[in-house]
Amino acid sequence: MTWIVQRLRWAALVVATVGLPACVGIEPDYAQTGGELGHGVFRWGCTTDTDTTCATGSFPDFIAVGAHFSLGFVVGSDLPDEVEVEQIIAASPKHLDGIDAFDALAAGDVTVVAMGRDYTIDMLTLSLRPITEVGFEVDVPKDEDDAGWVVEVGGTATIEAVPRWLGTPLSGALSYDWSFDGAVIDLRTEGGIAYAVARTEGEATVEVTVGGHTATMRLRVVEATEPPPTPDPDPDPGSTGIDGLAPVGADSGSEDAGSGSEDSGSGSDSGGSDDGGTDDGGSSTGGQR
Amino acid sequence: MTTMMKRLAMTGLLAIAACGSRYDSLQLERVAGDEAARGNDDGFSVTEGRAVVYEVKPLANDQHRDYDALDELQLRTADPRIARFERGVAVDTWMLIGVSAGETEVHVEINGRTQDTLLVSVRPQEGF
Repeated sequence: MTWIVQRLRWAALVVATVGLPACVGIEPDYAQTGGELGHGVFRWGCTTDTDTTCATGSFPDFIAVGAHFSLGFVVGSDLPDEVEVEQIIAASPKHLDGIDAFDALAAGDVTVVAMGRDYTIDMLTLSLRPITEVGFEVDVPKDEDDAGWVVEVGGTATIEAVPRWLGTPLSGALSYDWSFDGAVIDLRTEGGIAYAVARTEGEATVEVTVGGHTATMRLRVVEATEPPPTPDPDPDPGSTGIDGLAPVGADSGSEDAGSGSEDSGSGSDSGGSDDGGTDDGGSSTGGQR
Repeated sequence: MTTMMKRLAMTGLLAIAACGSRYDSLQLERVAGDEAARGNDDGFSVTEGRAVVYEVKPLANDQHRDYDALDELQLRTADPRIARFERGVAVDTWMLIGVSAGETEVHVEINGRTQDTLLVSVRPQEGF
């Protein structure tokens, strides 16, 4: 009798460790949306850290022309188990180049198709839009004249460059070129995010170029209101979260990616969701699942 | 006598085959996709870069001998660089994909024989 009890305990343990998570649907937060035919969901793939979509968990409404991204597809439970997706293709090579992973080449609305061996399973229409301006989202206060941001000596300003189409943020991995002038800050970058470490009082200008558009922002470094913390005699390289990033040299720190580029705006705004764009309804009809 | 029986049987089979369904047209019902797409007896149109899904059934010109599940429909475009038809996972569904702007033809094949040829027009996207 004892062995039966032991086996029941083992069975309960297996169910608890393996079965339960599957039953309650514990899974990562994917940015996904339903296909237009209702046969499954398309998942956004984060190809690099420079894609801001990866942090949002929401399938993007608009994708930047020039961006790189990948897609996956999960077959819905309404279809037989034999139905398997083999690849995701784009309807038009003029708009999207690639299979499963894509480069956005031209503005427009383009359909991607989840393909089985010799049949279509589902589809989704993506909206590709050109970058019209680049804005900034900064985690420190703006200065009095609203023309820049203020950071105290010893502090760090996290600056996120946000490519936009008519005010609407665009998704996809892009190439960012950062530079700055002034000796009052150090700049370390990671894709579309820069960390400006304030060294001494004064002013600095930070510039980013993405998709042929250049935007500039001003940082004013002021005296610290509280004394800076005592320096750690044995600093942990990972403690600040930015020490592992490559520093950008003042002025000469970046390649000149600005040939033909335009200045998208000194004093650019703090971002947010100023939805100035017109929604032409090109996105998926499936909605978030 | 045996030979006579065989000939009669063969003649019967040929007669049955000759009485098979005769193509008349395609019955189309739009399922999803490009809102601007059109499909009818004259042909199809779809926007470049977009796709539209139809439920497609061949109709016979004799109502009493309509096509059934054993009759195999195939839709094949002459130039897949302009447009393609792909069979859907759902029964009787076909996806028309507008690959690039231009015109081509689609051959309607039933049981391996071309029964009709229709125009397929892929229109460029406007406003971009």
